[in-house]
Amino acid sequence: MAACPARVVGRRLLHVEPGRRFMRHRTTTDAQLRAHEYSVVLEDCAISRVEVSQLAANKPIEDYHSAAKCISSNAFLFGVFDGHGGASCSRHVSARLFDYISAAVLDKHTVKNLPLGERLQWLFSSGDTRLPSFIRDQHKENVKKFLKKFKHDADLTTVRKALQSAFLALDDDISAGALPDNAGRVDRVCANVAASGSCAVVAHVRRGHLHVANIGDSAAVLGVSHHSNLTARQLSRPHCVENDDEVQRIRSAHPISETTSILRAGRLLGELYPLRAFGDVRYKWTLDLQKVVLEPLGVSVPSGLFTPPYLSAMPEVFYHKLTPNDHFLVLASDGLWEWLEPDTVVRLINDHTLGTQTLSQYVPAPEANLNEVVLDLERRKQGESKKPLDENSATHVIRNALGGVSGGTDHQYERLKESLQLPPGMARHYRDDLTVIVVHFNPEYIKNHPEADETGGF
Amino acid sequence: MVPVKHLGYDVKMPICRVLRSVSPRTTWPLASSVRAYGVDTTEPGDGKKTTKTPMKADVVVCGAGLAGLSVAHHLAKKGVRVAVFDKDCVNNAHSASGTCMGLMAAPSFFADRTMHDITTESVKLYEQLAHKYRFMYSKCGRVYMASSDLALWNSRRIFARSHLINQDAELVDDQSDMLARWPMLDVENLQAALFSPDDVVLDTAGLCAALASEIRANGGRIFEKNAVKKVLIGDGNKVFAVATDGGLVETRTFVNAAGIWSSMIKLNTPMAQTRIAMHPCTYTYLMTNALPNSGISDMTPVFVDMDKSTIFRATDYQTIISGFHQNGISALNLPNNLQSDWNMPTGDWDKFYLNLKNAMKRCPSIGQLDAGELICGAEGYTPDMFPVLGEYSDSVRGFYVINGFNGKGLPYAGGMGSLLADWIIEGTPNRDVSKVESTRFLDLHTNPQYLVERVPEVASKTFEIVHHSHQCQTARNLRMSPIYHQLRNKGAVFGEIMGYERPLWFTNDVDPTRNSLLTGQDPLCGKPDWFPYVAREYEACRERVGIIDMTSFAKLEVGGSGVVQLLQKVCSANVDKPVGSTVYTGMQNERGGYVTDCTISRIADDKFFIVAPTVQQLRCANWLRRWIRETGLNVYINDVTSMYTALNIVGPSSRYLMQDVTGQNLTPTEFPAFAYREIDIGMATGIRAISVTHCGELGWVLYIPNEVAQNVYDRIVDAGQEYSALHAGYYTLRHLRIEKFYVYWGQDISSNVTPVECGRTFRVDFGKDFIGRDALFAQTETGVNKRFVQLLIDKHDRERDPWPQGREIIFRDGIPCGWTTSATYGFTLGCQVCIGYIENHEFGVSPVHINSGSYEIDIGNKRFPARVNMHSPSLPMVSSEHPIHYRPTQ
Repeated sequence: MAACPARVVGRRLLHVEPGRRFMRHRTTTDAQLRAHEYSVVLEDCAISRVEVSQLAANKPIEDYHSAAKCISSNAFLFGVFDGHGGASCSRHVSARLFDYISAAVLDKHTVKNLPLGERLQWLFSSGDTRLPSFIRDQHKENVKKFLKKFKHDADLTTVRKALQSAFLALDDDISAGALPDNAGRVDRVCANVAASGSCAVVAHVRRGHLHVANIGDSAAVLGVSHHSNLTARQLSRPHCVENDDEVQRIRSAHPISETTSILRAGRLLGELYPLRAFGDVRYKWTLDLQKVVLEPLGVSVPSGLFTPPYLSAMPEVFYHKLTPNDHFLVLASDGLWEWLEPDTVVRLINDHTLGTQTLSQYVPAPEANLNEVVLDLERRKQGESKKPLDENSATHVIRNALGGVSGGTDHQYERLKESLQLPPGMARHYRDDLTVIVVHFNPEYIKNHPEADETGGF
Repeated sequence: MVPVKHLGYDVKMPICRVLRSVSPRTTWPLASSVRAYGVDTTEPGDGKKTTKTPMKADVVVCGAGLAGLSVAHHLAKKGVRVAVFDKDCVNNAHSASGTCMGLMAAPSFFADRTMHDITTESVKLYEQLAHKYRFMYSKCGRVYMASSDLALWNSRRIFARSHLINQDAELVDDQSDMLARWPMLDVENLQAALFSPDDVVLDTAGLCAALASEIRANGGRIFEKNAVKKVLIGDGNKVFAVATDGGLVETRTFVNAAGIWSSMIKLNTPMAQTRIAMHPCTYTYLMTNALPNSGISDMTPVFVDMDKSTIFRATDYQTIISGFHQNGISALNLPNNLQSDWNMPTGDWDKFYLNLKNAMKRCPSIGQLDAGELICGAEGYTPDMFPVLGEYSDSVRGFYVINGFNGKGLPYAGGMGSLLADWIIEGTPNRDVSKVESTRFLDLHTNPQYLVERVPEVASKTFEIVHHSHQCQTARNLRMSPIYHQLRNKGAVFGEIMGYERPLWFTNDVDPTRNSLLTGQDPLCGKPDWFPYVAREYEACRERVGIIDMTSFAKLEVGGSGVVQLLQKVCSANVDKPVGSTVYTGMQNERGGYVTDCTISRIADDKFFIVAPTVQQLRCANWLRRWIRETGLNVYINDVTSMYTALNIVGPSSRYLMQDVTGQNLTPTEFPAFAYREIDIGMATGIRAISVTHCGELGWVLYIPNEVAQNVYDRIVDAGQEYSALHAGYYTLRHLRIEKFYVYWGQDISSNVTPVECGRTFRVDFGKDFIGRDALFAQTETGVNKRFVQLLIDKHDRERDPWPQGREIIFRDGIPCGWTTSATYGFTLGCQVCIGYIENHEFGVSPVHINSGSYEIDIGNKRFPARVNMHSPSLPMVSSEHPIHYRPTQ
């Protein structure tokens, strides 16, 4: 080394103080976490702010999210779409579902009668809301057809039913889009969309009325203050084997001979974890149809396919009347819920809103004297009053999901660094894609606009 | 050993008499019952099924902490067969005694006479025990450091008391002097440092062990690891046994000294849980190595920063630091249904931060010490900063409680134990217990939520000296009169008493969104903020008419065929007057002391309406119930306190105002003073009007049914405009009554003061038989050792001098002769006016004795000459607007 002075100089130049190096990888960590965050501030409605953040584990990411306002009913729509078996289905659902929902505006809720194409105002979406032209034309046709059907169905009088019919119509159209045309040709893109699948959790907020429609294992949680403390209220139920009702529903829909074969190893036909989803035509189509359309594309038929369909896109819809005690709604893919309990998420967001850090108990270092202890405690006090590291509460949740809620900031950064340096794709073995939307409500608005006159519109 | 039949006792047959006849040793079949006890575990809690005779004890004490051991010690010493049970062991580590720092305040710290005496007794006991059992007991003294004016005057008041007992007390007001004496301190901005020499540091574990040995030596027994499971109440609502882990113990008296676990003791009655107005709060201190400064020894005093509520004790081997900053204290969470115990807190450095910082500011070298061990315990606190002592409830006989020591367990335990032991033996307390009695609390005070909200604030006031004007800021707005909001919109500033918000005075600020609740206390020196407002209200009440909300006063209805007989027995005045008359009377105890004073109005032949002081709501009813039980008379009692809104219409124009609103002729012949009528006001009916104002002015108190209260109030205020009527608060009432030398129960007089001593012999009818008659008669014959007087203070500058607050020392010819009880500014007399008593235990207090002395009063270590009045002064009108002025009766 002595023979190579230039390298010594170089080393000296490259020498960075350990503290600064630490700072630098903190900045990288922060940048990685905040890369896909976004927030919207809304005025004069029940919602004050919407924050979203996303972290990929798959490459490409299979989670999509979107938010829009339906101008004809003044309803806000938020959706998290957790794809599986590829990203195409969730990407398409995120772009197309809201058109169906905005077509399904009930007469009594119409504030402005607009033509189909102008009903939606997008707030944000992680996918591109503009579809390729050949799909867009077909999509417009489909929505128009849906509208016609919707208008003529006298039974569709509630938001719940409207949401359900919108979900089902989209799923039918996805499925139909993959069928061969008159010439017997199959569109590859459409077939991919139909062959992959997507869970979805969609919140529909119209004035003080909140509907949550859910299929699959994403979840919606409401942060409600009860006396002086905050509790988490689940507004969705996961559709997976852990949900007994769901298992019951699937088993009873098929012959008794299939009881053991439908759910194997905790999965539908031994393959699919969520028990309701968009797309996934492999569990919906008959064997013959799959042989014609999917086999040429290299998509295999699942074993045990006797009496399809096994899967549906019928959402479970929960209604909640917003009160001034409801502070925020969290929509997140299962990637988050496997790290954090709903209660912890709600506490994190509440602490974030109050501007405090969630602290763990202090233990003095073994050799510390009281002067040092006081300095430490002072620093912690400042940390308490200081703003949390992220402006965006959704990012704050993701940071704490991966970095852990216990231990100090240093600890958290260590763990985050470990988790984030895994390349996308590789990371899938350790965690799923993470998408979090936090919808902050405006308690003042809700207090001043009580809507006792209306029925909830179930 | 011959088994001796258990000798019970009741009120008629005091235990002391019973036990004096038989030696305690022989009545105590010790060996056999211990053996029986040891085997008797097959059917725990059920005495009937066991073949062995259950154990017997005169008194069962639950809890072997300081309080329980102290009670048991005093009982055992007097020959009572006592058994102490504890779910853990003597002085268990989680209890308040187990985490006690061993620092004990000297009696002079306690301004209240009761607490002062209790603490004095504790010191005496501990000193004896330390001498006998040789545990660590160091009379190292304490230094109170004051930087604010409030702390300065408080320390001067402690000094005044302290100096009486010990000439070594010193008040150092020069910073370089302080530094010379205590070089480890940072004396910046200290106004004064008071060295109080009688404060003690002792080894609590040693003390507990000594008490336990004393109990055993006197034949008492202590069962460790043996929890009390249930207290069994039998016929006549009397305790008959206690179920413990080891089996049933037959007893007629149970003492709940379980500290923070007191409310977990179960009863076999429908309300299975004990409810006590006490809740545990965290109590944290830091124990670390010795300070590096030289000259620190076991005799180095304890340092207290009065403004920061911080305390530290340094010796040559360790340093203890503690503090009571409100942010650092939290009430323990209520155990849920699944838990049977408190979640014991652990030391939280974040919460201790401010205490540590405050201590380091006063003693910078603390910073060099090791982090040490942060110890956190829990201690019972009560809503009013005084402990809880006495009978648990009127409906359970033989169940006593002793707890809620508010972080002062060491100074209180010894004296309170002795007090309770005497109480149990004699059936009634032999001292003034009005401040500590458990019956001062209502059921509302035992509400867990109320306690959780209130007690952390109480805990933070551990080193604060609380005067009568003090108001807490937590757990407010609990009880409110129907006209609360109307009064607030008129500018009322509210103070709380028994959970009830009453207006103290009325400001000019009528903004309905302002904070109308008074918190904190008056300055000890100089004119308080309320002075101009109260002056205005006072003038209205003396010259025109004032309206005072008196809803908080306790109101009872008693009736039944035996009611006249009962009241004639319990009241010292003759109440058998025609329907429509009102009598002011005392209810005396056997020693002639006031159980309470009250005004009794006869509303029908067999029905009376009683109005008593606010703090007597439960006690007054309990006393009557006790005598109904004893006499077997047919009498019922209804507590109607919360059914009526009371408005006091006070002042010379009140007659005209009342005539306007009632439309009736209210001349002295139609509605004389001391009379009761049911009247209409406007559209409202059923209003009880009593022509007694409780302050010696002309006027009426109207007891208005709550549902019409707002309506009636509005009418009176409307009609009052013609007479320039003004709202007045409780402070005005206080000024009016002290200036006229009207003593109030709970402030001036107590169960230890007789009518003869407070100049109210003329209210007593010796022509009939009543409780306490003989004692009173004897006093009139032999004279008294104590007499209440009114003191007018001279040479007092109200802008710059310390104001009397009550509890000042009175000097006669330079010798301490008594204490003041309440004080105020006399607007008509033009000087500070106090009510106080003069004592002379050697040859009594005669009028000649009083009139022959020259008097001084010590306010915050400053002497002021005082004139003494034995009777109410005649107060002229300030203006000549009303030429014929009204004189109170008598």
